[in-house]
Amino acid sequence: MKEFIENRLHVNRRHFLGKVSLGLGSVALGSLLIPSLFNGDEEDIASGVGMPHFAPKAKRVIYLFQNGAPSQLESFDYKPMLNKMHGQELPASVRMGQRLTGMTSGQSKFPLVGSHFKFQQYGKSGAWVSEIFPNMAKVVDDMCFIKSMHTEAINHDPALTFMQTGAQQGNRPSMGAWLSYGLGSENKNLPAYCVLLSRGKGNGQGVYSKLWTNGFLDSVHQGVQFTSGEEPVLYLNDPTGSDKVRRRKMLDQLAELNSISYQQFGDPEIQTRIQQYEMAFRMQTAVPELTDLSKEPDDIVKMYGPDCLVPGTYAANCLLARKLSEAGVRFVQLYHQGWDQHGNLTGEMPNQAKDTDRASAALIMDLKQRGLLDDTLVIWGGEFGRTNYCQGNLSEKNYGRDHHPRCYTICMAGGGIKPGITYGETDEFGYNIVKAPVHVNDFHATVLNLLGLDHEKLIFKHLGRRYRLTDVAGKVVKPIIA
Amino acid sequence: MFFLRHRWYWMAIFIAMTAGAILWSQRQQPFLENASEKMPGVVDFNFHVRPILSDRCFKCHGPDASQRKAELRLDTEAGLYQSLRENPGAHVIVQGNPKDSELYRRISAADTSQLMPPPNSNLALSVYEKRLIKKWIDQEAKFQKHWAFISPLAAEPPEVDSDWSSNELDQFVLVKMEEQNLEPNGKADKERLLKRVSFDITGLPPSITMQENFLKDNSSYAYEKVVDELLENPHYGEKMAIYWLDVARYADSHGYQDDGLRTMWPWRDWVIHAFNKNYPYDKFLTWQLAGDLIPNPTKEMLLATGFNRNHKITEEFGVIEEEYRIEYVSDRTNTFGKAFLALTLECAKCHDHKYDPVSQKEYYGTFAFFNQINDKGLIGEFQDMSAFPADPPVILITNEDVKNVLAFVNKKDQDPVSVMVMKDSSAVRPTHVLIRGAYDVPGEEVGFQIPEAIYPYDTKRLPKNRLGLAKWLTDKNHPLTSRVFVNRIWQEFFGRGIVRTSGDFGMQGELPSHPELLDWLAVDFMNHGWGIKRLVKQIVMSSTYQQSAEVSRRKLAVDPENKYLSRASRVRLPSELIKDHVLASSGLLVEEIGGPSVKPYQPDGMWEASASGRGVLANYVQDHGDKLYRRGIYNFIKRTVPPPSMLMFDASNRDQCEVRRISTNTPLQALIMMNDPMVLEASRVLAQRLMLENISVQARISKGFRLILCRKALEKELNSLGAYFEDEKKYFESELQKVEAKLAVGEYKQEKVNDRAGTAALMQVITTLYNTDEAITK
Amino acid sequence: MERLKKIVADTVLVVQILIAFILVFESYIQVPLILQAFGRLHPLLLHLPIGLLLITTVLIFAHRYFKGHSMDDLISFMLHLTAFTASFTTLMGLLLSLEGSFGTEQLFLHKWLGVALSFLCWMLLAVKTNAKVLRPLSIVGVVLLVFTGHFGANLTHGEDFVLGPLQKIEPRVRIITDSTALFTAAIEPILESKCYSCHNSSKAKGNLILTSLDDILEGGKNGALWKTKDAAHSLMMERLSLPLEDKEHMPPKDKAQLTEDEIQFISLWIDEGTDTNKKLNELTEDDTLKQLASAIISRYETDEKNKQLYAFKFPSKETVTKLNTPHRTVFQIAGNEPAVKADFYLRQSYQKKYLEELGEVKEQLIFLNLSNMPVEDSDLKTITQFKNLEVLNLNNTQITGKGFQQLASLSKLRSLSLSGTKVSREVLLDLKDCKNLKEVFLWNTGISEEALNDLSKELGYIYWDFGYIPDSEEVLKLNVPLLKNRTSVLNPDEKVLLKHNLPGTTMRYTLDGTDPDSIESPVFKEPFVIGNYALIKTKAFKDGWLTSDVVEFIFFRKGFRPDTTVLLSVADERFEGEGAITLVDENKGLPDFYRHPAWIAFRENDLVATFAFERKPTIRNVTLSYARNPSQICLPPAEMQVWGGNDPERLQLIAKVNTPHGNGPGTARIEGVSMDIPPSNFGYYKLVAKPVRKIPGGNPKKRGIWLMVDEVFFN
Repeated sequence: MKEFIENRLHVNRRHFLGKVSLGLGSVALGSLLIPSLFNGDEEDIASGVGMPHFAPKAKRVIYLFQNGAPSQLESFDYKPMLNKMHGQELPASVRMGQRLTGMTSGQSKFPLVGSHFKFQQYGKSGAWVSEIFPNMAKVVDDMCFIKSMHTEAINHDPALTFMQTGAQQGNRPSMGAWLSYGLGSENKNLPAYCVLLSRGKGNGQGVYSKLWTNGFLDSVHQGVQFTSGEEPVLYLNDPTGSDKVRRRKMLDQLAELNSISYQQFGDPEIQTRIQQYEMAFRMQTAVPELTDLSKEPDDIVKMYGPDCLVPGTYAANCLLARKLSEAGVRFVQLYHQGWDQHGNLTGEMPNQAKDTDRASAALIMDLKQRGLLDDTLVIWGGEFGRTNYCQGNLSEKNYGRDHHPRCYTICMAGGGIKPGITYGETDEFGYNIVKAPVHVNDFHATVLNLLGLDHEKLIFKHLGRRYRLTDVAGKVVKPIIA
Repeated sequence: MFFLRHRWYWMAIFIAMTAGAILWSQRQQPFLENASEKMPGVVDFNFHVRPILSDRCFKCHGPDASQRKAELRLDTEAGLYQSLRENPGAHVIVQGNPKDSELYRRISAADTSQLMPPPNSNLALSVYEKRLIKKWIDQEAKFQKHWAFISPLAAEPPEVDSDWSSNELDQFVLVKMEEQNLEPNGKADKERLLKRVSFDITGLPPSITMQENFLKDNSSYAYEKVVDELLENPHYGEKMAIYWLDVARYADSHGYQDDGLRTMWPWRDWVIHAFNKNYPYDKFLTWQLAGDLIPNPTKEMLLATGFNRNHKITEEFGVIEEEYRIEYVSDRTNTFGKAFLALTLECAKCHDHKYDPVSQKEYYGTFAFFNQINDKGLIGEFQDMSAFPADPPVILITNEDVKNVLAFVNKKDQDPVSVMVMKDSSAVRPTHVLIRGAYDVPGEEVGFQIPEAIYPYDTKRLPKNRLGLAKWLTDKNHPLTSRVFVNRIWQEFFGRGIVRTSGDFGMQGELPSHPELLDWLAVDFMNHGWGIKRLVKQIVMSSTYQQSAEVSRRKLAVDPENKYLSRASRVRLPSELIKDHVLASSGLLVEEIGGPSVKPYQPDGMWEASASGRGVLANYVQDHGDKLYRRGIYNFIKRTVPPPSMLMFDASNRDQCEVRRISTNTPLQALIMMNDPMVLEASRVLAQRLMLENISVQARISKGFRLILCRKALEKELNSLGAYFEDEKKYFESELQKVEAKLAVGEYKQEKVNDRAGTAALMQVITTLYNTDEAITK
Repeated sequence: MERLKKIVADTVLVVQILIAFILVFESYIQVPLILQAFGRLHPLLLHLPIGLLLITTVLIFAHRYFKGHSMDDLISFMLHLTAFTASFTTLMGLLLSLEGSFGTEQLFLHKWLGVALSFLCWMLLAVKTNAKVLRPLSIVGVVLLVFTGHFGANLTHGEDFVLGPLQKIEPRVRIITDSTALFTAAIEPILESKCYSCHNSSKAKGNLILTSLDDILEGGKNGALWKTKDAAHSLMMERLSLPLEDKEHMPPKDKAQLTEDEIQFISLWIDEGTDTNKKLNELTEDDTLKQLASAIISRYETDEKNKQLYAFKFPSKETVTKLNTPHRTVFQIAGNEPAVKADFYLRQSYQKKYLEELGEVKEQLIFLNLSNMPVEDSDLKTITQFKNLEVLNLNNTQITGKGFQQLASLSKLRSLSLSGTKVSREVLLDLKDCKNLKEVFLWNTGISEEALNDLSKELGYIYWDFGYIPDSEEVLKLNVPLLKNRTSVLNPDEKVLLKHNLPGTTMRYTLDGTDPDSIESPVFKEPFVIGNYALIKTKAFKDGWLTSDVVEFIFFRKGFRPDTTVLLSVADERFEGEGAITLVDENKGLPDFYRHPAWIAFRENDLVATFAFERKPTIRNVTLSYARNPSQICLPPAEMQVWGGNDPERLQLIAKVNTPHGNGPGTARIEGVSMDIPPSNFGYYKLVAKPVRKIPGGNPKKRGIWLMVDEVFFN
């Protein structure tokens, strides 16, 4: 019977393509509904691309990426032992030959440092949160803390690329691209995958368009970067001296010319082109509506903090992120730079927290009060952890922490995640994982699973190899799924 | 029985037979529905069976020893006929006897625990595939070596009785067409043909004079004449360079975070020069791979080796240098594989290749060739504002050189330019297999070696270094080098390679649509001294190339991809050429060749938003004047933030070697064409120029039309555009302040035109023309 | 009549021959499209011969009870009809089979039986009305019919279609965690997929039932399934490990078999003591049992996922595609689920009928998002037709809640979002009849807290989300005003435009470098004019907020552009820019990045340049734009002079200024020295700017101070 069914799908699909290639049926829609139709890969059909494999818990993702790797030890992974042993040497038994970056490999001593900031338990769940995240502390009962994340990369670029594309090197499609490819767009007047950037005051590491690339997938799935400038989406604004009416007239004129050549050549691509212009036209109305923050009620401004009115700030991006996912954007990717505290941690980290804490919490509350949190997955976290020992010299007021791939904490909320729980555990030194480790691949597998995708079935065949976001590994972390 | 006496009886027999005959005759014709299901008369191992085995079985029964299950491998002759481990009586394949062949028994088993591939692998074979394999075994299950590893032999071009074909290429193509019951399209009309060939060879639209002359010239040589002119045009080098830069992952920054400036552009100048001077491909390749190893190399040869230094280099403070140095060597190795062999060597970095006969050991054997250079893993952060970081070995190009040896380098200022090149260290650096590809887990040591199955490396004759490698590649009997290159050139002109997967000639790659043609071209190419211009001319002179692009519904149904070339494919221009076209047609183009990259208009804040804030490329400082109007190939490419409009038009981000660009059609592209200041400025300037000419409105429109669509406008097109112009003009006359705003676009100097509203209206018409599908389609 | 019969008889013959032909050349034949369509009618037509044959048979046997020839005629007529339909049905069937979609032995049997049947029907014709032969033949026919039909049904409806309902087992969704028992996690799924079909409560072969633990322990007619800690002598293992051919072997030959590791696992589990409560996390990672278990679990969990949650029928592809427009997306929630979700977009172009059109999927619709659409109470009626609706989002719609009672008919409604609507306490009470309603979202509705309280009292089983309530204690600091001008170089008549996105804020500014205060400093009302150079400091104020920080903007004024510029001194070779032109190319640099042609620097030498104006405009001001960046030791000129005249050789000094460089801001910024000069219209002007030689009290070791210039403006 299996063959029978596959064959069916086959035939149907060919019918569809047949139609399309005869210029019937709106391709623009088609491509967004069932993106894969135009990559013509057998796998796509087998994996039913364009639709979840099974009933999804989440429909959208907002990924608040804290770029530069915020220290878990000053945020959510409370380790009183470090304060007790403050200044003492890291026991070799704990370190177990973990490789060091070029920055600390020269260091002769590895004095442990405890958090400079006080921790306290919050909410029914009694989650530990440091004093520099007072607002996120208010929503801990909606969040799930994974304290046992671990990765393979020890430097920013590869680690970041790993978190976003499932591979440290090479030009692989990013998470959002995979989702756009697997699920298509909910709102056909907006891209399925949007990217928002902001810079913190702390030590920045830079982001790269490679992180939101479509890789070998169709460039429809490329992350569309929203800019803080006058033009939220590149080339969106009509040139000065033009307006909607003139634009409409132009499109009609254009369509007329194009159909003349369609009549002569019968090339379906011409039809597609016409459709694409129509969609562009619709984007031109849909996007400005979204990016106009001035109409938000005062309460919202209070909630996110006044920065949310300054385009390009993290707060503004959080607010925009909510509006985008409310409007059906599958994957909203934020990057906030400046979390790389090799030194002057006590100076920089509070500022970083100040820039992000309020808005992050607000985003969760805001989604919740609109009934959107149930099916919107919010992720907060960096690319790796930070060492429990001090980098550079340890003064009583200040210190720094180096990169630490062995354990770090990320939080998730909404979208079918069990609220108010903590998963996994690190040792009392916050150096090794002692319970339920979660590898980056597992994290990806889990996110896909929440969106109703089987990470082993979401495949794309490129140059003879079947690629997956989770490459050849990855296990769904069931216990954190509601 | 009664009916035997009946006269209807004969009638009945007759009808039945005719009906049968009809069905029978249907065998030949392809149908949209079941074309792919059509059972071939003779099942060919390479063309029908191996693809299935490779795709569904090799993962566990292929070249990769570590993954191999049940000691069974199906990628070798021995393996296919071997007897089974657990039951030596039985054999994988018993020729001519499917029922006794374990292979067939397993793929057709009803019992899920017997069935292969295992149900949970999601790799199940379709009924058709099972039938194929059965039939193949019935027909004695003959094994063949993978086609791409057999040295090409030029078959005699098939005889075709048709005056359509103008050279050997057509003969091959026509035969395949006929097999599919297809017939070639008619010749493209002169104007469109000129546009096509002009863009294909120089990447620029034909000027109106060119169009005029070509239309006037009715001699039988008219076309060939144009082709020869175009081939001598120095812009030919630029056009050919575009795709080579993708292959060589050329960029103006180091990639990775901070992503500082590098100055490899003199190497780019060399590539353009090499194409224009028509360097034979073997020389072109040898210099880039091993210019430094040629006995007493010239500076030009050294410059050429920049090819292998175009990979990304990290500037991230505190990285582990060895980790990255290894990454660079792998990049060179992978690029070598993809660019010259069209093989996915990289798959063998962590384990034996799953599909192709490349062992991990052989991978690191190849790796060894590129592992001999003393480059650093990390380029230091150069806070000092003077020098640009360049990771040694480098050469300094001084004005002295430019005067003498390197005349083609378009150097502007006084300070010497440093270009990273290849240079092997005197002592051979030992190379180890890296377990799971991890830089810090070395395994056994390996010498220089190349995947045996491709083509043996004669260690007696060939030196054990990159020069030897180049000699190996350019050996007349090498199965891949020539095939791979001609295929890629073919792809550049027809939008689709003879092997569609131009980056993968391996088992998982697609099979050539015209194998004989590919081999003939490859051999012919070598026999005529690897002459690239000659190859190009062969292609554009073929009738296949000169067909019109019209496509009937039937052809669309039978051959949507135009695999059989029964028409010219309508291919969208690559991003670089779109810019070139807009600038050239509006008269803005600065034709200067070579030199440092330029920073044209770009939306604000792109670099600033993503940069780490360090380094000289933290901010995008747009250029002015002539630099705004250089060809697209000179656009500054910062790897972490490539020019957005280029990415949206499917350009490579130069992260790694790319041999084929996908071509998409998205709303963002529409936005660019409608709102990019580059396009708007061009429209404005062209409009002003036309307004200054003392000719009728009609004439202006039709001239603009000709410049942009490279053909005379049809009556109806002119009328509708004329009406549109009037409408716009009326609007702008009513809204004069809008006129100023509209014309303000761009830094190019404003012409004084009295009829401002008219200018604005004409500008609008021109922008519309630039936005037509035809304008950006060759 | 006879003639007609003949024709029929012969057609049948033709078809028979044709059938024979196809059977012979099967593998060579490609079926043309038209015929494929014809073939696909097989499932339709086949019902005729079935009926006809049965009736005819009855007639044949009932023959004797009726008198007269008409009966014979009738029978023969019926026979013709039967044969006619039967043979065509078979022909179609063959064509259909040629599509090659079905590869099972079921098909094989069905095909040949079918052929036999149709041949038999033809035979019935041939033998005419000879009762002796007719009766047995017709019986054979009926028998054939039954079997053919059975296998046919299996093909279309799947095997055991008929018996299916009897042996239906509720698919149980297993959530497997570390604390799940091995038995439930690994063994049950094996049994379920490979044994349940024969060993369940309704069809207990060998009196063995495996669907529940008790029954399992009960065992079957051959006794208990296993001997604890002795797999070797356990019945189950014995049956599993018998050779496949052995009829005692389980599962039977033709059924799906257990895999190596499954068998291994079960036997190990038995040997380890058949502890049905042993949990996964009680085993160490290196325990074989654990490893086998996890292998098996992962194998079956993929199947788990494909368990269907919704029973109603799938919407047709066409409908879904049709319903998708730019304004409305309609999706199946998953490939294996018939349930559908619908979202609406683009408020401006919303139309009532878009909602009504969803009637086409009214059974499947479980999720409806109308947020931000101009939906009114009257639309609730349309909505109530979506019987299976679970989630309804009406945020920011015109809904006031009149007629919420109707929603009671949505028995599955679970979640209702009303944020930003004008609903009142009263209408919300109407929701009491929505039995399944779990959560209602009411943020930003006019509802008072007490109203909320008694809602939660009266309808406590619903979670009423009131959303974010700002903390009146907390006072926040405003963000700084934003600048709308795109560049720091203003066009001749360009005005300065400040903006603040928070409605109701006042912005005050100063031009004299002092910080704005809330009393004196002018309030920004409209774009204002500035001189040739200005440093603007501004600040935002609003009641209930702390005033913002001060922000400063520096402006230059684009003036007359000299026709020629000559540099008389030598710039530092590291920052030559593009020579003299750099000073007037209207190309501004960035405050902290000097390796760019926009910048030209002087350190040892002064900046000395002459500027020629052919049209001799009236010049009132000269402004030098430079970079101040203490960290890179770039400072303003110590002294600046302007010379003028009409003979470049003889220019006289018209103005001179010394700039205090000392303590500027630590951060890099571009500033200007702006000199008002007595209005003059010379042809030539000369500018002299002297770099600071050394900072008073500055570190003497420093190699001097840069004068980093990017532009000179004449106004």
